[in-house]
Amino acid sequence: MVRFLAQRLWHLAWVLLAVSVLVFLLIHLSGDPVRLLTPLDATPEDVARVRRLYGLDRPIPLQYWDFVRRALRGDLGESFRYQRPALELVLQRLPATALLAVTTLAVTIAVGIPLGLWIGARAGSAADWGVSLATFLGISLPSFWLGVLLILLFADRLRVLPASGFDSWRHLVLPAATLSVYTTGLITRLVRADVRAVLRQDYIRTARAKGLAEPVVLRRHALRNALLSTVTVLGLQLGNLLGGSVVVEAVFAWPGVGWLMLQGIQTRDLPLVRAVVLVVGTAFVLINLIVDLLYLFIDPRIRYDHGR
Amino acid sequence: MDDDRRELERAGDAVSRYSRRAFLQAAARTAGAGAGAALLGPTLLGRAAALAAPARRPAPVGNLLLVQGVDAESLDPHVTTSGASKGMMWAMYDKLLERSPEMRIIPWLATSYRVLNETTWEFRLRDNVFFHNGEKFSAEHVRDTIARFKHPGIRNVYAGQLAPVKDVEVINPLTVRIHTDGPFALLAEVLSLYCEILPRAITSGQVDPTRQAIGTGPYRFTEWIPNQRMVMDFAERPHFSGQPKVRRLVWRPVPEAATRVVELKTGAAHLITPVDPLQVPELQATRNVELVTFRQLSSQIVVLNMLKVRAFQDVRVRQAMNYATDVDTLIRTVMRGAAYRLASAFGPGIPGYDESLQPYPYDPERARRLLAEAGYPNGFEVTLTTPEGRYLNDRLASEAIAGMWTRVGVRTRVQVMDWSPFVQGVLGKTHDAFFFQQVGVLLDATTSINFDSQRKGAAWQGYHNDEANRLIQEAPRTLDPGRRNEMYRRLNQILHRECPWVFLWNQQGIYAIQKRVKGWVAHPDGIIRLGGISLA
Repeated sequence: MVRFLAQRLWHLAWVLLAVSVLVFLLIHLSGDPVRLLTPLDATPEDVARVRRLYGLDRPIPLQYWDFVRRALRGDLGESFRYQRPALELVLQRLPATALLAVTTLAVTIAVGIPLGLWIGARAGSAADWGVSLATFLGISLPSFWLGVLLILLFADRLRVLPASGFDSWRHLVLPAATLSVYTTGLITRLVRADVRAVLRQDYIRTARAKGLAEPVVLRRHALRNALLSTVTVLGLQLGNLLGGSVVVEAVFAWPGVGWLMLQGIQTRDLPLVRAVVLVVGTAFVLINLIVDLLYLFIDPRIRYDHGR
Repeated sequence: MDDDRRELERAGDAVSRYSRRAFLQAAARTAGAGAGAALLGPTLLGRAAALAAPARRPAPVGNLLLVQGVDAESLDPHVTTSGASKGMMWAMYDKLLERSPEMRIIPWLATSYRVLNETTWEFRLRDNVFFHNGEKFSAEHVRDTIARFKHPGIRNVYAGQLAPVKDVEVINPLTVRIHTDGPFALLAEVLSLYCEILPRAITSGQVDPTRQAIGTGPYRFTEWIPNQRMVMDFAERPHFSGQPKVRRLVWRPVPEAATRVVELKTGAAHLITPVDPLQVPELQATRNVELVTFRQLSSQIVVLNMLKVRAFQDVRVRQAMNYATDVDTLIRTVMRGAAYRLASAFGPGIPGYDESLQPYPYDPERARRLLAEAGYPNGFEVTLTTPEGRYLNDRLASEAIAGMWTRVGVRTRVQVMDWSPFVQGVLGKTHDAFFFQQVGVLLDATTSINFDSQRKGAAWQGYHNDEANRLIQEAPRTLDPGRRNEMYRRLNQILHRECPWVFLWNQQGIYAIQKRVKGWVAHPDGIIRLGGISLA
């Protein structure tokens, strides 16, 4: 187990290194950051001065080397736009994004798994058709459109929830609902498909033949076996959500990492984009590590130190 | 001149008797009496702005909730560039000079200025002004602030605007002389738009201005949570322009236009900007909401690249492109009426604006004739490049323009680009023609960047005219504002005739406000000034 963890952390280092190189190159290849940092009516002298000030007049490999040296000390550079440490800015926004992500995940688990289990056991029924159609719509609706629609309905027409902001639990409802519609749809369909497949297995027939009650069969045998893929997808979804949903955060003015990332890209704020990608990349890899560990509890057959 | 003097004195009285708004309007009228304030002499503006003790006023009340599309870029006023940021900064910081709603220069922290000789300007400063940390404003603050503004270590992209300033000399606590390294006629213009005056706490480095704002403005800084809100409370020491009527300002960024509208309708915002013209009918139908429109200064144009497309080197072809573009129809349809036709390079409010210049009428026949005369009876092929979503209806307008050009034989393909490569193409002069918004033409200096074939700025794409170059270079050195304005007018006439651009429109700026907000005055630069505003 320890060896497994060490190996995964070693992989993490390589992933982060690769991601940092990629971000560095992409930002530079997609245009001169200085010309997007300076207004178009800035004098050429001012442009040259800003280029020197940000250290962008040096060769790209040198700039990258400088970044790596600082990053190893925990310094991801200073945001061009905000003139504050980029890491500090990302960590400030992370709680808002985490709150949205965890709420969305909680709703997804609370609704998606039982619903998937329920219709999985009733394949072909009217309920199955209805829920399947609803979840199909859920995963098909663009979140931008759905977000605006929910704002128009609940904030404008019914006046029961605020349209945007980040001050109380009420502000959380609409963005979390917007995101949950997709993830819940996805998980419901996944659990349904897995449960249907598991229910055809011999051991289910055996369990029923032993006289076990149907709820027990479903919970203990069908669901548990269907959970592996569900947990994997939930982990990936949580990773995505922690990266911040750019569109949903912008629609609801939710001050999270996604919106920050969008600003960073629009203004070619190189240190900021780099910091967001590295923090989110780290979170993503760690979440997947946790998912791998969860497999141990879900499926006792899995052993990471097998054969040693 | 005596009439000017009397009117300025009346303007000064207005400040003490009435309100900041009254002062702005009176001072604007006054400054407008002369073609520019620079040569009026020290006493005139000085008296205009001399303040009596502020009259007793009711305490400010209420929270004003302002929602803009973007957040401030920084708390450091010398680093911010966007209009949204400047509105926030100018509630907390003051400059030496200000702009009236008509964009005329008016006294602010400086009560007057005069030009002593070609390279020396003297500014008289307002007495009894205090920073929010208790420091008393004086000439030394002006000296130290200008030094910081120009300091190469500050990430100020506009530092070059004060590059000609050689030295700032403190004569006494309320008098400062600015020495330039040559005639620099734009000094007052620059100081009315840039260089917010900072306290010693900031210029000495004791306080980090990216975390704490300390100005002399009517509001003092309370908190800024980026992407969430910036909060300011009224400064308890009354501002020289009058004590604010609103106790607290809360600025919030909301990037989505539809969300901003709902925030206004539900009362979570008192003012929203910008407003998409598509949302105007909905807002007009909303009770308690009022729309305030204004003509923006920036010019929407199509830039013709004479370096890339040989045909554009011929003035007849460039004129043909203007005749071939049905701007009125574009404004009516694509822009839904939210734009004002532009006849030439400069619209109203820009030095050199000439109302006698008429827009090119839509005349496809004439366009075809001019193309044939220029040796292109069968037209030619061209690519019109546009960003998408950067300017209002940019792609839609470009597609319509391409159709119009194709109709006269200039077979036009539209190329849509992301902003970053689009900008690279503009600066690298590689687009055949591009849909563009010329921003910040307020300052004469910008003009040179765009038309001077020696400087080759962003919107310069191969245009050359000796007389235009001479005017561009001489005007910023011409201290007489009347003569300078005349030079820009002459330049505008040349540009109108030779049309290096296809002149389209000034966009309409739209604010939507709740009717309970009183005293709101829009400025054509789109920057929010809160003087005189109150909540009913």
